[in-house]
Amino acid sequence: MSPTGIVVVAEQEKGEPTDVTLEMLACGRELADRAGGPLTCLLLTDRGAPFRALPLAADRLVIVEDPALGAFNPEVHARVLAHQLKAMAPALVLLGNTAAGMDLAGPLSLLLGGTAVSGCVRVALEGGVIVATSRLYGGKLLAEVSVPAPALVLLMPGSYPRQKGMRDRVPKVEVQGGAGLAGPLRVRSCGILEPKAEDVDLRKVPVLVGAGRGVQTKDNLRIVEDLARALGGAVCATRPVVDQGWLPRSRQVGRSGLTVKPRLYLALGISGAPEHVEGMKEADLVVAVNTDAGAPIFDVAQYGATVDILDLVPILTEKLKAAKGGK
Amino acid sequence: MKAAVVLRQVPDVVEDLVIAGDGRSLSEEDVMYITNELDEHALEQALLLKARHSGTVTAIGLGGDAARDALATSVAKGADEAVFVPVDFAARGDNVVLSSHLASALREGGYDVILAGVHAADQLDAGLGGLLAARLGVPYVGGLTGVQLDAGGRTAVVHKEYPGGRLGVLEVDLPAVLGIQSAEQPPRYVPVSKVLQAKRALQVKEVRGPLPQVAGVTVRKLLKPESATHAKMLQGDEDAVATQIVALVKERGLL
Amino acid sequence: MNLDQVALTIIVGTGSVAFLARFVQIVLAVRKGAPEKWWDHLGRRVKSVVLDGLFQRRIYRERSAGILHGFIFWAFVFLFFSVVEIVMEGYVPGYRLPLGPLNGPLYLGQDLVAALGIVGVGMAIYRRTVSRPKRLMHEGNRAAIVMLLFILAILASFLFLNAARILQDRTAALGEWRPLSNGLAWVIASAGGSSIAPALEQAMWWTHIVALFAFLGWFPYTKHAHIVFAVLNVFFRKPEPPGAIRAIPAERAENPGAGVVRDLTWVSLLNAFACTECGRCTDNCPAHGSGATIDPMHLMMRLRAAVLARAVPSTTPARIAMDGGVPAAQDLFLSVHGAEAVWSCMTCLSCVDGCPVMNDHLSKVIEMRRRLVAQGEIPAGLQETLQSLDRYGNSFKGTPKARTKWARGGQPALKDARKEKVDALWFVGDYASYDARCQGLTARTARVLARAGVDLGILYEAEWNAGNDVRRIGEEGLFEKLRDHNVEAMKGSTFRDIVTTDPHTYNTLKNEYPAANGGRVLHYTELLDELIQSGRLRFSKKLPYRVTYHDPCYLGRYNGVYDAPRRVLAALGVEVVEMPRNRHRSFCCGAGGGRIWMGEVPGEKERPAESRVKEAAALPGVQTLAVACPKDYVMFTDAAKAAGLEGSLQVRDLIELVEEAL
Repeated sequence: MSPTGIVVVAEQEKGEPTDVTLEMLACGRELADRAGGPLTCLLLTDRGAPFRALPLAADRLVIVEDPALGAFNPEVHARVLAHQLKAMAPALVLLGNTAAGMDLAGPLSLLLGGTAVSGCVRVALEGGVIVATSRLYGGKLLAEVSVPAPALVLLMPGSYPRQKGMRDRVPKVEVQGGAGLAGPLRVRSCGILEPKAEDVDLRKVPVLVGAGRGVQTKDNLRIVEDLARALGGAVCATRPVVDQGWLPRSRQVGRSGLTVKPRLYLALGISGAPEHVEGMKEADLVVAVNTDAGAPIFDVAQYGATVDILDLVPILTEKLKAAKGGK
Repeated sequence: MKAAVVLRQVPDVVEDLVIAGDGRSLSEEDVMYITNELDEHALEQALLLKARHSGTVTAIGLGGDAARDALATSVAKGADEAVFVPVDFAARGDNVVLSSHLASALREGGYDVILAGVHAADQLDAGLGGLLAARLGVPYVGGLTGVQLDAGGRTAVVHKEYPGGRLGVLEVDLPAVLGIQSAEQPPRYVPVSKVLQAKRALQVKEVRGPLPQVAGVTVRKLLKPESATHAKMLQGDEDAVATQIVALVKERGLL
Repeated sequence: MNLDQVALTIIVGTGSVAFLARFVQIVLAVRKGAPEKWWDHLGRRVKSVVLDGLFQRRIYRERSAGILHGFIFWAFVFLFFSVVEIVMEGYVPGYRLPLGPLNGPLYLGQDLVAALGIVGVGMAIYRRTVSRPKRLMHEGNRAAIVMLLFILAILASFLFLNAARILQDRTAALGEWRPLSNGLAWVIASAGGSSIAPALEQAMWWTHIVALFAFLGWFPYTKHAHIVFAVLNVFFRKPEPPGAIRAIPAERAENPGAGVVRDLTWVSLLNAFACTECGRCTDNCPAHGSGATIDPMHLMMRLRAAVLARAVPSTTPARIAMDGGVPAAQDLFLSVHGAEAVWSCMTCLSCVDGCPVMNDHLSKVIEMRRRLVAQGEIPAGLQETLQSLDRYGNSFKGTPKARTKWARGGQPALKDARKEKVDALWFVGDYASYDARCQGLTARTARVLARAGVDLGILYEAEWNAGNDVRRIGEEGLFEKLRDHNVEAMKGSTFRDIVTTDPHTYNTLKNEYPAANGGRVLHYTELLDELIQSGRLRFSKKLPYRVTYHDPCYLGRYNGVYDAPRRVLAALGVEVVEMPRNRHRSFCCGAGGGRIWMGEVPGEKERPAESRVKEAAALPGVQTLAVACPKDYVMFTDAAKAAGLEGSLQVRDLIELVEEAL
C-alpha cells in the first residue's frame, strides 16, 4: 500500500460520530497498523466543535466545516469528498454501507478513478493487495474480492468492534472550509421528516419479541403481543412485517429501522437477513425460533429451536404467567 | 415525462446456490433468474408517475433470456416500450460493466428520470444507479420511498429513507437517476393471461454490441459462510422448549 | 254482455295484463345477459326438469317443507283446470270442461288436492309464526303470510263454492266425485245453513275469481315468480357437473368476468327470478356463518333488483359508477356484493347444492373474481401465492426440487412415472408434498399402497399444482398454464388410472382436465375401498375407536363420494358416529376458494374450522375426527388447538387409521 494510507469518511448524528464510523476507524486502525501508513478520519459537518477533542483512533482528523454540510446531500457531499480525497490520494477509502454511503460510492469511485465494493464485513491486506469480504444473496454467500487501489469499501455496520474506534489520545485536528461547494446544485436538501412520536421507544425496552414472516398473519400478532406482555416487554418486527402494515414503522428493527440492544431478544419466525440482524445483534441474549434449521438467525442467536412458533407462543405465555404468579 | 426503468435479472435464492468448479462464480446451469425485487419496485414507481403525470415508461431488461419474460410482464403492467440488453453470464453481476454499457444506450433516450432498485442481491460493487448517474453526468439519490414530479417536469421531490423511520426530503433537478428502496404502493399484480398476451405481441428493441472492457472487482473466492458461533438448539416439543425458555429467562433475572 | 260479465272481464283482464306485463319485463331484462348455450344435453335437462322441477327432490331434504310444498304445488297444478272452468262459467252458464267421463275423476283430484293444499298452507303458516326457522326470518313475514292467506282464500273458496252447489243440486255438481266438498256441504246443512247456499255460491265464486286474479297479477312481482321461472331455471342450467367451471369465452378475453349485470349470462340472471328466498343457501354458508358479509340469498335478491335496475345500494360508500353508461344500480360490486364479500367465499358448494330451484350462486362469485383479477385488485396474501404458483408451480414459494422431499428415504423409492410405465399415476398435490404436517401422511400413504401391491409412480418435479383453487380464484390464465403444463407432463407417461389424496386436485383432474387414457381418476379413499373389497388390503386388527368423519367439500358435495370413505372406516372396525351436519350438509373447513392463502375476513367471529371441530367434539364418546383431505387435516389441527380441544379431540387422516389396522 502506498504511504498515503487510509481514509475513513465519518458520519455524524447530533454532534456524535455514529457507531459505524467508530467501527470503520477500528477497521482502518487495524489495517493502518499492519501497513504502516497513516489513518485519516474525514468529517463533513456544519459544526466541528464537538469533534475536536474526541480520542478517535485516527492519526489525523480533517473536519470540513460549512453550513451547507448540515443535512446529507449526495451531490454536495460527493463534491466535497472528491475534492478532499483527490488531494489526499489514499489507497483505501472506508465508507459506511448506509443510506449516505451507498449514494456516494458510485459517483465517488468514478470521480477518483477507483473501484467500490459494498456489503463488506472484513477488509484485509494480503501482499499489498486490499482484499474485502462481502456478503451476497441476503447473507447466503460470501465473496472474497481483491480491489485495486484506490479502493472504496462500504463497511457493513456491526462488522468491527466499535470500542476499537477510540483510543487513548486525540488525533491531530485540521479544520477546513467547504471548498468544492461552488457552483449550481442540482440536488437540494429540504429538511427531514421525523416519524410520529410513538407510544413506545423500543430502544428503552429491556425485552423485545421480534415478529418475522413466520408469524404468517396479522391475526397471529395477538398471541405475540400476549407473550410480550407476559415478559414485560414490547413487540418489534422485521421490514416485511412492517411493509405489510401489521405494525407501524416505529416498530421496525434493522438497517432502515431502529438499532436495539435489549437484554433479551426473542426472534420469532425471523430468518435472520443481514438488514435485520444489523439492528439487533447486540442484544445480551438472543433466542430464535424458526422451523428452518438452516436460517441465518441461528448464527446470531445464543439459543434456538425449530418448533412451530404458533404452537410455542401460547404455551410459553402460559408458563411465564405461571412462573410469575408463583412468586 | 419520459421514464426508463432498469430491470436486472438476478439469481433466484429460492433455489440453492451452487458454486461452480472454479470456486469463484455460480454454476451457470443451476441458476434460475428472477427480476431484482427492488427493480420491481422501481417499475411500480415509474408506472405510478406515468399515471400521475402522463408520459411514457421504457422497461430495460438486463441479463439473459429471462429478461424477455420480465419485459413482457412490464408491458402487461403498463410499460410502453421494451428494450432488451443481453449480457453474458459472467458480467451479469458487475455494475461497473453494466453501467458503462447502459450509459451509451441511455444517453440517446433523452429520459427525464431513470429508476433502478437501490440494491440487488448479487451486487458486489457500488449500486448500478449511482454508477449510471455518474457516467451520464446526472445527479443521483438513492434509498427512496417516494417520488413526486413537479408540474413542469423539471424537478423531482424525493423521500430518502434513514434509520428509525426518518425521511429526508430532497429536490432533484431532472434528468436524474433515482435509486428506489420501495415504491409508494406494492408492485401491482397483472393476470397471467395479460402477460401471455403481452408476450405474443411483444416488440423488443435489442441493444447488441460488445460489453465495455472496464475493470471492476475481481472475485477471488465464493464461499458459504460458516459462522463462528451457532445457537445451542433446544430439544423437544413445544412444551419442552417453552420450559427451557422460561428457565433461561428466570436465570437472567428477567422475569 | 251483462254487468257481471263486464266485471269478470275487468278482473280477469287486469290480472292477466299485470301478469303478462311483469313476465315480459322480466324476460326482456334477463335477455340482456350474455349468451349461453342451452340446447345441448337435452335428455339430461328434461330428466332434471322431471326430478327436480316436478318432483322437487331437493325440497324434501327438509321433510316437512317438502311435504307442505308438495301439497300446495299439486293443488295449483290440478286446480289450473278448475280455473278455466270457473272463468268460462261466467260467460257460458253451466260450462264444464269437455273431458267426457274424466270430469269426475278430475273433480275428485281437485277436491283432494285443495284439502291437502289447505293443510300445506296451515303448515306453512305454522312455520312462519310458531316454529320460525332462522333462515326464513330475513325479510319479515308479512308478505309471505299475505301470500299464504291468498292461497288459502283460493283453496277454501273453491271448496266452499262446491259445497254451496252441492247443497243446491248435488247431482249437477257431481257431488259424488267431491267427497270433501260433500262433507263440507253436509256440515253446513247439519248446522241448518242450507238456505244460505245460493248466496254462499255467489260469494265464493266471486271470492275465488278475485283472489285468483289478484294473485295472478301480483305474484310475479314477488318471490313467487318462481312459480313460472323455477322450472325454466332447472331446464336451462348447465348440464355439466358442478366441479367443472366454464372457461372464459374467446370473445370476452379482453374483459373477462363480470362487473355489471349484462356481463353475466342470461341463464345466470334467470336464477334471480327462480329464487324462492328460502335461505337454504345462506343457512350452511361457512363464510356467512363466520361473520363475513357474503350472503348467497341476498346476493340473489339484490341481483334481481339489479337486473330490473332498481338499485338496492349495498354498504359500500356511494360513488357513481359509469361503465359505458351503465348506472351504479347495475354495477355488481356496488349493488350486489362488494369485493370483500366476493373474496370471502370458500367455494364449498353448500349454496348451489342446497338450492331447490338449482340456482348457481358460485358461478357469479367466480365471474366477479375474474373481473377483480383482471383489474389486479386481489388481496395481498393472494398476490404472493399466485406469483409463487406462476414461477415455481407451487403455492409454497419452494423450489420445485423440494416437491419430493417427503419421498426421500422411503423404501423402496417411488417409481418415476416419467420414465417407467405404471398402473396408477399418483398426482400428489401441493399440500401433501410441501406442507410439513402433511408430508408424514403422504409417506404413510406410499407405504400403505405399496403394502397393497399397487403399482404406483409419481411425476416428481414435473408435477405442478393442479390449479383447482387457482381457477376458483378467477386467475383463469394461470389455471390454463398449470393445466397445460401438467397435461404435457402426463402425456409422456404411461398409466391407467390417476390417484390423488387431495380432493381439490381430484376435482379438477376429474372434471376439468382432458380425459386421461380412458382410465379413471380416483381419490385414495376410493382406491382403498376397492383394495379392501378385492382383498388386496387386509387388516390384522379391529380399531376400537368411536370416530366421526368429515366429508370434504370437493369429494362429497362436488363429486358425490360419500360412501367409499365410510366403507373403509367400517372395514377398520371403528364405530362411525355422524355429526349433525354430515354428507351433503358437511360444513366446510374454510380453506377452499383460495381462502387458505388469504388473511382473515374482517369481522370474522368464529372460523368455520373451529365451529366444525366443536361440532365433532360435542358428539358423545367421540375422540377422533377422521379426515380425507390434507387441507382439512391442517385446518382442523390448527382449529383444535385454537379451540383448546387438543386433549379431547384428535384429528387423524384415514390413512393413519388404515396403517394402524394393518
